[in-house]
Amino acid sequence: MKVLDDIKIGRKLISSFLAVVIIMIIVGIVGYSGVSTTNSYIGEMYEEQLLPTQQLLVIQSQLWQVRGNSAGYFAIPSTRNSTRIQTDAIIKSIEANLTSYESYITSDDERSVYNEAMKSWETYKVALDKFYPIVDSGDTETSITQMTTGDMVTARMALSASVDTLITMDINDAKNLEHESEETVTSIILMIVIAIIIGAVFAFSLGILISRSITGPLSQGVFMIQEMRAGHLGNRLKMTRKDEIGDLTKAMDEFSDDLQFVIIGGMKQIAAGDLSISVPPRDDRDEIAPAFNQLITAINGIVGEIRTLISEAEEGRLKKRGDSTLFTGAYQNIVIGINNMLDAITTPLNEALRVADQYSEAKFTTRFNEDIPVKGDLIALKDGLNTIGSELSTAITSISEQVSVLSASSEEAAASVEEITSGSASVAQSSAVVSANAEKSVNAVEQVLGAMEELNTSVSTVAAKVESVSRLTQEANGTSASGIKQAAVAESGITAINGAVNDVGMIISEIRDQMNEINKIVVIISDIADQTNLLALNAAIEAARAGDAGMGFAVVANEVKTLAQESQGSAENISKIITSLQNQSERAANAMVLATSEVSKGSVAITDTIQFFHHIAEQVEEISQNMTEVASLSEEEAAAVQEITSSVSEVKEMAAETAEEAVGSAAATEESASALNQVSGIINELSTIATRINESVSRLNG
Amino acid sequence: MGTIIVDPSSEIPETDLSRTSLSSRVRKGKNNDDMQFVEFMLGHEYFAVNLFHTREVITPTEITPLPNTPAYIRGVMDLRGSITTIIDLKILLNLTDEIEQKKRSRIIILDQEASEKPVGILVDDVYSVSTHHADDIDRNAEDEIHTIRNILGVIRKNVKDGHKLILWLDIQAIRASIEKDL
Repeated sequence: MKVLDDIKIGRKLISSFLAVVIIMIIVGIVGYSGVSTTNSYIGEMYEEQLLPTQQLLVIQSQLWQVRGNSAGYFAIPSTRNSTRIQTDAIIKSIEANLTSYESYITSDDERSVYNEAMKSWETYKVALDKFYPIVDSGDTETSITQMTTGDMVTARMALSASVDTLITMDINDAKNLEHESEETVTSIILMIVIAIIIGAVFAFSLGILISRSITGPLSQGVFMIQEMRAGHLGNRLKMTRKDEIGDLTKAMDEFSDDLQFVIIGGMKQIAAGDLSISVPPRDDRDEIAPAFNQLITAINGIVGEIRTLISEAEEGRLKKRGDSTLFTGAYQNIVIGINNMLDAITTPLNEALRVADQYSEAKFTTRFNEDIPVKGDLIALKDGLNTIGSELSTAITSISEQVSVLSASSEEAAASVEEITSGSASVAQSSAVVSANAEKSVNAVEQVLGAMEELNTSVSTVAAKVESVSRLTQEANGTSASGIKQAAVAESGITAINGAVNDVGMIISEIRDQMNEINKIVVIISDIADQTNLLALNAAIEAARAGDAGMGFAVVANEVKTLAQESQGSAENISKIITSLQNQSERAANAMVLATSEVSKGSVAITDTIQFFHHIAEQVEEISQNMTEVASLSEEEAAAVQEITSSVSEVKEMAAETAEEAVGSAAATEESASALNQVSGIINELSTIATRINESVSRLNG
Repeated sequence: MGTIIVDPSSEIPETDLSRTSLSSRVRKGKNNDDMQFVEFMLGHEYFAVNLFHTREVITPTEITPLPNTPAYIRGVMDLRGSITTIIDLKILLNLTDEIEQKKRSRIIILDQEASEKPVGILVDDVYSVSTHHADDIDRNAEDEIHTIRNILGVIRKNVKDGHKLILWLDIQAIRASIEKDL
C-alpha cells in the first residue's frame, strides 16, 4: 500500500486504464482467432466438398442427355447430323469435368472409385463410337440390341453408380468437417467467457484499490478544514504520502501554522498594547499580511493624532484640529468628537476676543453674537462685554446728533452758493457764445449780401438774353410760315405734274392700241399678197400648159405676181416700222410710270416738309411763350432780390449790436462770479470743519 | 435670211419676164430649145422641176399622217375630193440638215396619168415659174449621175450679184422609185 501511495494520481489512473485495455485486447484476440478458424472450416467445405459434388451432378445430367441423344439419333434420321455434333460437344464437356475432378480427390478410397468411373466412361465412349455407324448403315435390329443391352447400357450404369458413390463420399466428408468446426467453436466460446470474467474481476479490484487510496486522505482534509472553520486551529494531518494529496495536506498544515502563530499571535500582542509588530507579505498577491499591517497602521494613526492634539492643547493652541478625513468609521468618529469638544471651548473665547477687538477700535455697537452657543461659566463673560458696549454707545450717540445738525446746515449753505456760482458762470459762458455767434452771423450776412448782388446782375443778364431770344423766335415764326407757303406751292405744282403724266400715259396706251389695229391690217394685207402670189404661180403654170394660147395670160400672171410680191414687201416694211414704234411707245410708257412714282414720292416728301414746318412754328411759339414767362419771372426775381438785400442789411446791423451788448454782459457776470467764489470758499471751510467733527463722532459711534 | 429669200424672188421675175418675152419674141421658131420650170427651195438650195410634170401649187392644209409608212411620206390630204399623198422632198433627198419649217412652205401637185395616184411634194417656198434656154442648162453630168441622184442637169441663172445654180430634178424618176410605197 505504501508503494501505491507514493505514485502520482495521474500516473496511477493511466496505468490502471492501460491494464483494462490490455485485458480487452486479450479477449478480442481470443474471439478473433475463433472466428477466423470457423471461417477456414467453411471455406474448406465449399471448395473441397460443395464444388466437386456440383461437378459430379453436372456429369450425371450430361450422361442422361447423351443417352437421350443416342435414342434420338436412332429414331429421327432428319436431325442426325446436328444430334451427332451436340453429342460430341457434351462428351467433351463430360471428359473435361471428369479430368478436372481428379484434383479434388483426397483419399485412396475415392481414388479407386474415380478410376473405376473413368474405366466405365472409356468403355461407354467406345460403345457409342460403334453405335453410330451401325445406325447409319440402317441395321435396325443390331442398333436396338446395342441400345437395350451391350456396353452402352452396362458402362453407363456403372459410370452413373460410380458418380453417385463419389457424391455420397463428398457429402460424408462435409459432415465430418461440420462436426469438427462445431467442436472448435464451442471451445472458443468457453475461452472468451473465461477471459472476460478474469478481466472484469481484475479491473473492478483495481478500481476499488485506487479510489480508496484517493478518497481516504481527501475526507481527512475535509474534516480538518471544517475544524478550522470552527476556530480549532490545533489539528494537523501530518501525512507522509508523496502524491498530490500529500502535497495538499502539507500545504494545509503550513496554513494552519501561519494562522495559529502569526495572525492570532499578532492579534493577542495588539490587544496587549504592543503596536510594534509587522508581518512581512509572502508575495504580491498575499492579502492576509497587508490587511493585518493595515490594521496596525490605522490604530497607530489614530493614537498619534490624539497624542498631537493633546500636546497642542497643553501648549494653549486651541485652533489645532484633528484631520478626520485620514480616518474612516469609528476612528473618524473619535477624531470628530475631539474636534467638537475643542470647538465648544474655543468658539465663545474667540467671540469674546472679537468683541474686545471691536471695542478697542471704538466700535461700541458691537455685541456678543447670540448665535454662538454659550454655556456654564462663559455666560458671565458674555454679559459683561455686552454691558460695556451699550453704555458707551448711548453717550456717543447724543454727541453725534448735535454735530450732524451743524454739518447739515453748513452743507446746505455751500450748496446754495454753488448753485449761484454755477448760474453766473453759465450766464458768462452764454454771453460769450452769443458774442461769437453774432460775429459769425455778421460775416455770414456779408457773404449773403455779396451773393445777392451777384444774383441781381445774373437776373438782369437773363432778362436781356430772354428778350433777344424772344425776338429771334418771332423771326423764326415768320420764316417757318413763309416755308409753309412755299411748300404748299410746290405741292400744287407736283399734283399738276402728276395729272399731266397720267394724261400722257393714257395717250400712249391709246397709241399702242391703234398700232395693234394697224398691225392686224398689215397681216391681212400680207396674207392677201401671199394668196395673190400663189394664184399668179398657178396662173403661170396654167398659161404655160396652154402653150402659145396662154402666152398673154402668162405675162399678166407674171405682172400680178410681181405686184403681189411688192405689196408683200411693203406690208413687211410697215410691220417693221410699227414694231419699232411699239417698242418706243413701250419705253415712253415705262418712263412715264417711273416719273409718276417719282412725282408721288416728291409729293409725299413735300407734305412731310409742310408738317415739319408746322411743327417748327408750334415749337417756336411755345419757346416764345416760355421766354416771355421767363422774362416776367426774372423781373419779379430782381425785385425780390432787392428786398432780400435790404432785409439782410438790417440783420447785419442788428447782429453787430447784439455782439456789443453780449460783450458788456459778459464782463458784468464775471465780476459777480468772483464775488460768489469768495463766499463759496468761506462756506466750504465751514463745511469741512463740520464734516471732520462728524467723522470723529461717527467713528466713536461705530 | 429673209433678205436672201426675198431678193431672188423680187429680182429674178423681171429678168425672167423680159427674157421670156424676149425669147418668145426673138426665138419663136426655136421653142424646142426653151424649157419651162417651176423653181422652188429646199432649205437654202434651189431646185427646179419641169413645168409640164406639175399641175398646180397649193398652200398646205391639214395633212393626215399614215401609219406604218416611211418617214418621207407625210400623210394624205383631201384635194378637191381626191385623196393626195404628200411627200416631204427634203427627207426623201436626205436634206435634213435644215430642220426649221418655213412659213411659206408649199405643196406642188404633180401631173399624173389616170392610173396613177395623185401625189404632192412638200417644199419650202415656190418662188417662180420661169423659162430657160438650153444653153443655160448643163446636162454633161447626166450620164454618170442620172440613175443615182435623179438630177437631169444644172441650170445657171443670172441674178444681181453673179449667177446661181439650180438643180433640175427628175421628178418622174423619183416618183417611180417610191411607187411601191405610195
